[in-house]
Amino acid sequence: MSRSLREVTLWSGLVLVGMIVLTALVAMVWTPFDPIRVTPERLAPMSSRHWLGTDAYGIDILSQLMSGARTCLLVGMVSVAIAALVGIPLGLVIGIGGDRWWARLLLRISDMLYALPALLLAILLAAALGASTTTAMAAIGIATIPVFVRMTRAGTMQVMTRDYVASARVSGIGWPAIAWQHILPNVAPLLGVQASVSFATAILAEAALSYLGLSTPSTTPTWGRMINEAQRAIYTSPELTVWPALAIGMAVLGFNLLGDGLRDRLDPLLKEVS
Amino acid sequence: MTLLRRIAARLVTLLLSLVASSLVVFLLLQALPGDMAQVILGTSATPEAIAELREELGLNRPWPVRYLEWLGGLATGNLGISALSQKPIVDLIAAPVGVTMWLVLFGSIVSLVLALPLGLWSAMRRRHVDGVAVNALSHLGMAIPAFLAGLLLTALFAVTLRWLPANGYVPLSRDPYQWARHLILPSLALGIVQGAMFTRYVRSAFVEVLGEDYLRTARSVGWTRLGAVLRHGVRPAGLQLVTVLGLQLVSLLVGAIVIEQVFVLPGLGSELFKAVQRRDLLEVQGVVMLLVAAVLVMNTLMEVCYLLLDPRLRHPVGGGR
Repeated sequence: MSRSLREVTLWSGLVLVGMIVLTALVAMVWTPFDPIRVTPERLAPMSSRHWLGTDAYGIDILSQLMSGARTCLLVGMVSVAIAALVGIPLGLVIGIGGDRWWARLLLRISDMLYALPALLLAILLAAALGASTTTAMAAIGIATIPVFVRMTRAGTMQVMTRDYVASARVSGIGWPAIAWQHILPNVAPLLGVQASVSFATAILAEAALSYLGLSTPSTTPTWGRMINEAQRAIYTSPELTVWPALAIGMAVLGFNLLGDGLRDRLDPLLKEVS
Repeated sequence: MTLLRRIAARLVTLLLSLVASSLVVFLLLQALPGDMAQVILGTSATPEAIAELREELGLNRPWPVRYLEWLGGLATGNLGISALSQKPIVDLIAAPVGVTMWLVLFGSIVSLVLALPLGLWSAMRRRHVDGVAVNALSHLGMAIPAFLAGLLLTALFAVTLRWLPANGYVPLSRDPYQWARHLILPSLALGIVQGAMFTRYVRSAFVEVLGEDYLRTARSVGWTRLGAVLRHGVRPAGLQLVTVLGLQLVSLLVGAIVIEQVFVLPGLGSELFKAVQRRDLLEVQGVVMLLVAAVLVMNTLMEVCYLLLDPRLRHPVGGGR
């Protein structure tokens, strides 16, 4: 791929993500209308009053979208944070352990988590504790841990072969210090890319969970629930599906492009790892 | 013999993973506030009646005993009796398993039919406009959740064009034609999104193969670019793809559960949701375990396929990876 195309990928990702973040920030202090209050103005068309119209309950669609951006980013951030905070240290330890039996055992255990996808975890948590934003975040976060473990381990094992690690070792520096000073800074770009891609996956998962009613309760609008409600009215007003669909698509595309753009920029480093 | 040993090791790992994940699933559901006896008798029950039923159901025994009992049942294909409907859980999920299997099967066919040619094409023409366009399309496809694709397909083919039913299911044994018509849209929704993701894997596998020396050699003895790739590149690329196929199957299965909700198909996912709503713990536990087991078995199958396909592993010279 040419250099300019690479830059286009990165920048379009940044612009899309920037727009979503900005929208979410604005929604924290202001939305044009109350995003949950039912009004008699049902299914109003697009107008200067309601820019994107209103839904079957008379709720302003733009306000719901803005509020949904907030939920979506919150779930994305918390679940990626859970995955990173558990996955990165674990990946470092397993990577430093290399081929030793305990490292291989830990890797196997982490891989087992792949068998419990976010959806199943969310169903289990919802059955046990009742569905909420917290159970959705926990389910997505836990299900993403093995991805970070794998990625950190691969990067760590790569850095471990470098001379500067050997010389640090010889000069008597302990593993925690080596991990902090030498390994982590070198795998950080890799993890940045992974975080961005995982964010996109988390948004998709959140949308699916809230569509299924396994996430945020109905007091807060989410893009997934907007689609669920649009489905009920699909014969009368199919256009209701369009806005939340666009929002989800833009957010996921944005984070995927951002991840891809970063990856291409860091290509020489990443090639060695994968 | 190393090959047989490796396969045996995979199978042992599978067995251990099955046991470990069953423990996780069991313990997670133990965290449920309120218990089966309460659920069965409802809120109006007296504490004495609840205590009596708890005793009868064996809920007062320590959890390791109950876990081992459940595990023993799993091993013999007995998932227990649903407390609410008083029917064996195996009977409750037999029909739904079939629906979900059809969906996963057709979904994977759609995704493979889309992804293999498109991925190969966008790899070979990656410096041309059409190759880049396919790549960009796959990016867009990845940004659409499967349930949304399902809804958009419904809006187009069921609501606007009225070619296909919007939802519902007809068993194959009752009417094969209607059965097929009801499965088309869900399978497409599931397969297209999955296919977009798989296209990217196929593309990167072939991009790598295209850079290999043996392909240049094949070209130099007169093969065309496409011919060389088809003759010499498919196997190494396929080997790479087998490793991600396991994960693909997992997301197909998860996607199927969601798609069932969109199209109101009476599959395993719908059964699971019904069980969650009824708070029929034992059934939730059984269905989730079944899905997890399916995932683990599919992953192991893929690993074994990889071992069987890779000649480097069959004849490890100099301890090759």
